[in-house]
Amino acid sequence: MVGGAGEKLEQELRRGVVVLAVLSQLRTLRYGYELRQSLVERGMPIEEGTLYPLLRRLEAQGVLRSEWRTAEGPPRRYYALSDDGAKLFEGLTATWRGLNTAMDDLLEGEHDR
Amino acid sequence: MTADELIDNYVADVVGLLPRAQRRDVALELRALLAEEVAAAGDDRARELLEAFGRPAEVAARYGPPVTLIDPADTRRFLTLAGGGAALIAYAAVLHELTERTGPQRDVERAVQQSLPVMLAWLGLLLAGFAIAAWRRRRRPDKGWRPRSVPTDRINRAGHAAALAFFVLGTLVLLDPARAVGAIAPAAREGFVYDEGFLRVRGPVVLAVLVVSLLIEAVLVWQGRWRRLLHRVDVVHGLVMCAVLTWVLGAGPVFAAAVTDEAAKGWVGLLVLVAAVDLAVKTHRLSVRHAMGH
Repeated sequence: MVGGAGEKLEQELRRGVVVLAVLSQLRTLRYGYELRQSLVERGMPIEEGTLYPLLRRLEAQGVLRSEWRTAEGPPRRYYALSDDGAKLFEGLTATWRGLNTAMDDLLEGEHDR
Repeated sequence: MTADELIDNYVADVVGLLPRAQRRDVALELRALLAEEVAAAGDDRARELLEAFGRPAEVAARYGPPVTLIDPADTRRFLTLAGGGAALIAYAAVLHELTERTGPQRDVERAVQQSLPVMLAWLGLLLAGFAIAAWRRRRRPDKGWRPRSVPTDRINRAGHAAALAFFVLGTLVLLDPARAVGAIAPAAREGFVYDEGFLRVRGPVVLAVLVVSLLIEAVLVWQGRWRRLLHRVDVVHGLVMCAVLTWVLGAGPVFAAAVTDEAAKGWVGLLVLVAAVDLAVKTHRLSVRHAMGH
């Protein structure tokens, strides 16, 4: 019972940071597969079925810009932060740092007891 | 099936569920990405990889903003109203059958089956209503919760006393409606004579149920407020009332004159349906009060 619930709660926790993780890797142009590999290497694996649609959704919201490139092999769609996306990324990063500090305080408080 | 064919198959299933304008572009990109994934994992793992990618409908849904007809927050209320309404329609069909037909002509199962289009119409209306409400809320979010006037146990004693007097008078008239009507319009007296069969068993049972409802009302007026026990007695009494009146409708004529009998049964049927809705509302409120420890 707790095992199943724990897995679900962990998924929810990770879901909350997926967008920030993706934006962090799109300060330079990357295509989907390359982005996924980059996230995996940094310890943040995101399922393909979640990541690829997310890129399109963020682009539709104006957070990302994209372009097709064919020069470096098969045609690939590359994504990067748009101007608005870059501002959003700064805001989300600040929020994340604030949350991180608060959570550290909370969790360390629990250890001290 | 080759790995490329599997990918094509999967991509077709996903883009088939996307808006037309998005299909070509997503198909091109998704096919290229999946091909790269499969090339890295090995062709023999293509099927496993595609299965892990997710159900095509779920993947397609992730490509756009979620489309919800009914807000998840409204789903429980929707199910309650859908189930309750469908049950009420089925009950109305049964009451109608009991009123309209007797003996071997009566077929309750067929009556319920014939009410299916009405149930579907109810479900359709309900779905449309909830979908419109959800759409409006998304366009213009409401202000959330607003306090309502605090429900009170206290009653309007004078009002309930007047109602009690009226109910007593009504019950006295029902004891012998022919005499009451005859006093006002002698010509109509014959039309309001009870059927002999009704007077033997069903009449006394109905009278007992009516007397209990008068007693409940009298206790309420005396106490000046709804107490928990009285609430419960009232709910059980409502249930018994619905059951008894349903039985009365189905067990034979109430009045000797066919015209009066038909009209009276129509009104009683309507009364039973209103009582059933009232019972459901009362039970719900009682359950909330119980949860609140009142």
